[in-house]
Amino acid sequence: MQYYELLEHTADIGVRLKAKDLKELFENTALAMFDIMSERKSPDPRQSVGAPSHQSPAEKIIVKQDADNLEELFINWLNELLSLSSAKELIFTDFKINKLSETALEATAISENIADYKVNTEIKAATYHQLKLEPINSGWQAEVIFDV
Amino acid sequence: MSEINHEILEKIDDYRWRIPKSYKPGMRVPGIIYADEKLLKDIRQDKALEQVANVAFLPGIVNASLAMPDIHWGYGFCIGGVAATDIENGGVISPGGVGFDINCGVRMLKTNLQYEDIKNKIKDLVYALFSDIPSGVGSKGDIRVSAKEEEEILVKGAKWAVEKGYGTQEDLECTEEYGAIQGADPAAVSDRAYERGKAQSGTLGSGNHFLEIQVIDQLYDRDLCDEFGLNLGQITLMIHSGSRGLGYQVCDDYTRSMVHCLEKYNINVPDRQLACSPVNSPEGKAYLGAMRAAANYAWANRQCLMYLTRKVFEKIFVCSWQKMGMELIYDVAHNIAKLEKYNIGGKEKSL
Repeated sequence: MQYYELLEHTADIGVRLKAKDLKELFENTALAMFDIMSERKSPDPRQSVGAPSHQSPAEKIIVKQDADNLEELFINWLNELLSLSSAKELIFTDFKINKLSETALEATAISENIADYKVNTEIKAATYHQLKLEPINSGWQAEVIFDV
Repeated sequence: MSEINHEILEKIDDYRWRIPKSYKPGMRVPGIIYADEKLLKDIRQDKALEQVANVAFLPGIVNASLAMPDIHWGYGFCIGGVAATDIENGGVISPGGVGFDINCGVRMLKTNLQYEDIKNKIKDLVYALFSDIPSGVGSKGDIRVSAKEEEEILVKGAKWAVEKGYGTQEDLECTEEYGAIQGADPAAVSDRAYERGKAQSGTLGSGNHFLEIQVIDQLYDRDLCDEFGLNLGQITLMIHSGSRGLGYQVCDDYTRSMVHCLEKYNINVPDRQLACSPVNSPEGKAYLGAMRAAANYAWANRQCLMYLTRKVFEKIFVCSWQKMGMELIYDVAHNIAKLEKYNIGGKEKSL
């Protein structure tokens, strides 16, 4: 099931996500961002038993961010991932938020070599424009617009 | 759908519309949109008009928050948004206003080739352009530079490329700011931005960036076309690119720092993407130095892209680019902040 929906925007790409808690919201928004950006070139060999593994091994990166409030933390988190991805030529494929408060987070990001991915859309950054981060009945909801 | 109440728009004349200052408390000046009725119909469909009103909140803004006819919904500023702030009067600078792709811009080259000359070679040209000019997300170029050279690019801009043999003095004369804006401060650019920029010199990027082979099918201004030596059927080339990851990182770094400036300098803006700081503050000065460095990187980049394009044409037509008349018409930035002097109400001001 698609865990995010695309929002209408003239020039950029917006997404809306729901999650059971804030940690999941941070993780899933990052996943959505890299899902919009890229797709795996060939089927993941690890999923078919006995298939030869030719890809570079996944790497774990610890990401730490601080901010004055939750919204800034959210935007800083997403932009830090974009920045790391571009500087180190990686695609992030999974995230685990280990610690999260209103003003700080520590996460483990799983990355793979960008060469194993077909990159469709370059996301330049996550923006504050029309940013929404709010509690809802079933947990949390976010809306964020990416500059593409 | 737009949030703005359209009844509020006042018609100034057939091509100008005003959002009065009274539309939102906090607007310091009115908004003025340059568009005709037909364009305005489309403009009303998105949130761009609301963004014009938001920009009118910026401290020190002079006369009006302007929007050009290409106005559409962006983030922070609308796309096509223009604002001038009075530096001596607390005028601010906003990294989000300039945008992530600092000195995103276009350059246009002419050729003396006609459509007839290239129509059987289009496939070869396109293949060669794709293979010789790195494009796509995070694309890396053959023009690799050391950290020291990168610093040089940030100061010298397109001149760096010309010194390397990737162009001529005439190219610089047909580039805005001669391809290098003064006052760039490479030290204000973060290590991460350097890292992102290192591999991407001479790469086109992706998204709405492009390199197009174009043919002139209509002349709107005969005299101007004569001046530039342009005629019907003639082949031209257009390159649209910017400062790549280096510029995005500069914008990200300084938006982060200027979000704090809103409180520090007691600035009220309705959208945090408009985070800003007085031009004369330490934060404003540092951003200006870094932004100019990123702008110079972009001019060097478009110069390299033009060099690679000329090489492709030389390969396919087995002829020098000079013989094919592949001269630069002009290179102009569309995401940039500049200090300029204007006469405002009879007084010369730095904006």
